[in-house]
Amino acid sequence: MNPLLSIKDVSIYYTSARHKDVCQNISLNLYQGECVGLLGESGCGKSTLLKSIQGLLSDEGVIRRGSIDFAGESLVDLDTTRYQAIRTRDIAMVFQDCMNAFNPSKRIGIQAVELYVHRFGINKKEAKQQVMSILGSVGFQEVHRLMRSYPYQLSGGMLQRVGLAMVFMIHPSLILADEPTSALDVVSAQHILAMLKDYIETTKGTLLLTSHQFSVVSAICHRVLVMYEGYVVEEGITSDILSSPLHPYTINLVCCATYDDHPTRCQMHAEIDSMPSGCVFQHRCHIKKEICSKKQPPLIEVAGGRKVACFYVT
Amino acid sequence: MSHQKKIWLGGVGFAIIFGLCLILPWLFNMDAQSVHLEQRLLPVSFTHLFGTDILGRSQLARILVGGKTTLGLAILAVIMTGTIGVFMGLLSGYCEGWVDSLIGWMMDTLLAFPNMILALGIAGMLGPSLHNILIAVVCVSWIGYAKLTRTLTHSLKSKSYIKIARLSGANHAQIIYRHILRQLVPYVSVLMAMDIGVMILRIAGLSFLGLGASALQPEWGMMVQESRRYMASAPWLLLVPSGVIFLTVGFANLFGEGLTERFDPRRLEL
Amino acid sequence: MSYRKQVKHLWINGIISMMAVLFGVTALVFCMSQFVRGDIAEAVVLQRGLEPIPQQIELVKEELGLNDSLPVQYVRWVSKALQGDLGTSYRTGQPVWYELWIRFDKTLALAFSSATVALLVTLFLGIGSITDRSGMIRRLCSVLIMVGISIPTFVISLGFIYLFAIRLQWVNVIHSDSLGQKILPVLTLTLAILPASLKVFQTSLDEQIKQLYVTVLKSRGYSLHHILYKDVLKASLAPWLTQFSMTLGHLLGGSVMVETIYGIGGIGQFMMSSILNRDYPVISGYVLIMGIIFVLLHQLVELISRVLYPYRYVLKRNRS
Repeated sequence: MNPLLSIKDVSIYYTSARHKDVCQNISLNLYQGECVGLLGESGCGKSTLLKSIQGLLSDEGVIRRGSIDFAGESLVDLDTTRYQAIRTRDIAMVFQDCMNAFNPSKRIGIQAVELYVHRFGINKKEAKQQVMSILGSVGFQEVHRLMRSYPYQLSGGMLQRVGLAMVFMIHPSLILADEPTSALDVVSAQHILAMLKDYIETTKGTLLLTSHQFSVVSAICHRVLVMYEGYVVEEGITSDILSSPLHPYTINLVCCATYDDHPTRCQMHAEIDSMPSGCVFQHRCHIKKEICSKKQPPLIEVAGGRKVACFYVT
Repeated sequence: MSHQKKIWLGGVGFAIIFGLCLILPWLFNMDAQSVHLEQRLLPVSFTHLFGTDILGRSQLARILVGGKTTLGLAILAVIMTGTIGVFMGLLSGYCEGWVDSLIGWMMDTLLAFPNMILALGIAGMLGPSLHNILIAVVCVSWIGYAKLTRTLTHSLKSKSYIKIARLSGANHAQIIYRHILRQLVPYVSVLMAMDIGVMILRIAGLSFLGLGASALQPEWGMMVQESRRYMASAPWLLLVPSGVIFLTVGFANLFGEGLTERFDPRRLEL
Repeated sequence: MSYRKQVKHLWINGIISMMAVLFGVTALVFCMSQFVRGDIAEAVVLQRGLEPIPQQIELVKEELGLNDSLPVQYVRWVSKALQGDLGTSYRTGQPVWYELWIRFDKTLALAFSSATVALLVTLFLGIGSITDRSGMIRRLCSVLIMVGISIPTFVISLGFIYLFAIRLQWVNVIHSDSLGQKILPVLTLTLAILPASLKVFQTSLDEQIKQLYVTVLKSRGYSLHHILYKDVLKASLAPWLTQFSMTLGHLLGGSVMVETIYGIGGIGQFMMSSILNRDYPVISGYVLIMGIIFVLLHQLVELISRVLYPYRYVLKRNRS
């Protein structure tokens, strides 16, 4: 079966820091109906990758090399009209900062209806009916009041749920979710994850999710890619990684997530400005060998779909 | 243009113009008043650098001496508005309570009028003269400083080191002087720098309208008014004072803008 | 405190402060007119063709009630003003309100036209500086702003007159009733308020474009044009509206200059000639009227702003 989204050896850099690639040789295949998670700290490049899929990199972001293919079509350097068409129907993104993701001067209802009209082209009245029924089915009470509210009147959790509902409304083939729960309290976060899980299961849609929390990824993702400083350091099925993490960084993450009692393994992030030679994780690694300071370990398949980038493991 | 350049270009440009207005007339004993009817309405030439007007008076002399008047008044106005405004703002921000409300009410009342109109009214009531223009302009313009000072004083007052100073026995005057006033200086001076250009325009404007009526002392706005009649035959009479006003105000504004940009991050800190 | 109560408090506070300001305005104008008490009596005496000897002046003072205490005079003055009696012009002998009234429409026409043109140009240039990739419009705006705030209105007016009426002879400035004649004053006044208006709008637009919701809209597939016109525009006009009161002030003030220079015959010009002729009732009447109009307009603008942009005046309420 052909992947819906195919990212091959993509490297991205920002013109403000040319010497350092924010994404390094990232490869990823996403199949229909899958939910894949990108796990990593802030600054590891996952948001940049997501934005590049939709062509939303600012003028400063450049894809140095590699290809991004969606349903067979290349998504690199398209012309604006094509991007807009794809964003309208096929790929939609959910953003982390729900409080600022809406136009503050317009009511929620108007923004939702406009989106619906933009996607399906029907008239406003019908759109309004549809929108209201969708919002109701997602679980909102008092839909009328919600439609008439301004964004400032709603809480973060509500806003993110509305934002998510609006994305579902469009029926995109692929949803990109950039840290959708990071700005929310635990209860709202759970709600959002439940909505996403529900959506994938009922519509067989595809989801690419990023987060810095293992708990989020393990809740709904089938597969996980662990990223560090622009590199993918481990890849595999979620349950496998959770039960037996291989890369030292993944071990750190899993320890912290499960509150395992190996505090020495959880070290603080070291500031790295320039690219050191060798493994990108060497400064924090507790099992590093001599070869680790010489070159970056390649991502090698280990067993049953698992990939690791570590000299120690492979 | 970087803010350094703006500060330098604007500041130096303005200083040169003002300096010339102060120095040259004194140095060369220029006479802005003497009438030479046989030399009237002469265009720009080497002997008469800016030409002459209907009474044969040297425009160069009148521009320079007029500059002394206009710019001097403007600078004086800025200093006065700054002083009054800061004083009122300090009172308002430090004393709070009914003093604050009273001064706030005064400010709101003054702000209730379109700027120029109140100045016109005051100058009109007092009678046309240059110092009445000054009074009118000052009455209208002190509010900006007062508001700024008030806000700053308010926020400074709540800081811990002020409370400590009070507890250790310092009286109000000492606190104000030592802690608050010093901190106001950068903000107030930026405002003053920005205001110079505005003051020049206001004073020249009121004078143009005839409120500065003083046949003895030349003033740029007045000169523009006088040139109206002879616009067709002697356009330089209009162009030179207009150009000089534009240039001076431009430099002053540039200076003010550069200063604002330089201090901007500090402002945000508040 | 409940939301409704807070809103009610806001309304009451607003009205109280407006009344306080109106009181201040009237008090101020009253105080201003007190400066010339002696002159008033004297002027009236002269106007009646009598000799300005001390006894006559005293008689007139008594008659006009100028010897009563200040608060009494103030109340009398305010009550007269409320009935529309702002005094009588020294020059024309007509009631002040009449003189102002017959000239009001010209001022209004000038102000409205200039405001409209300025708004249109602001929108055009502001949006243009975002959509124009070459950056030319943006540079034009910067130049316009820089130059605009450094040139006095009277220089612009005279410059136009010189250029268009004398040099190019496109318009005739003597007969002020033709359309061509009206263009110059409107243009001048527009240019007088344009720099400030443009600066506020441009800054606001630039700020909005950087907001997250614009990226979100792009992500949904809207074109830049759609985003600009349908979303950013409304949000950008918010600070512009707040500044509008100030723009209005410049407009009204600048109109005095423009009217006087071009001979429009509006209340501004009348005010100027009254000043030069020391016609005090007109001066104080004009200042009073303008002050009150301005206060009311300011409140109106604020009201509109609250309705259109409620999120800028968010009260503290419990978030759900």
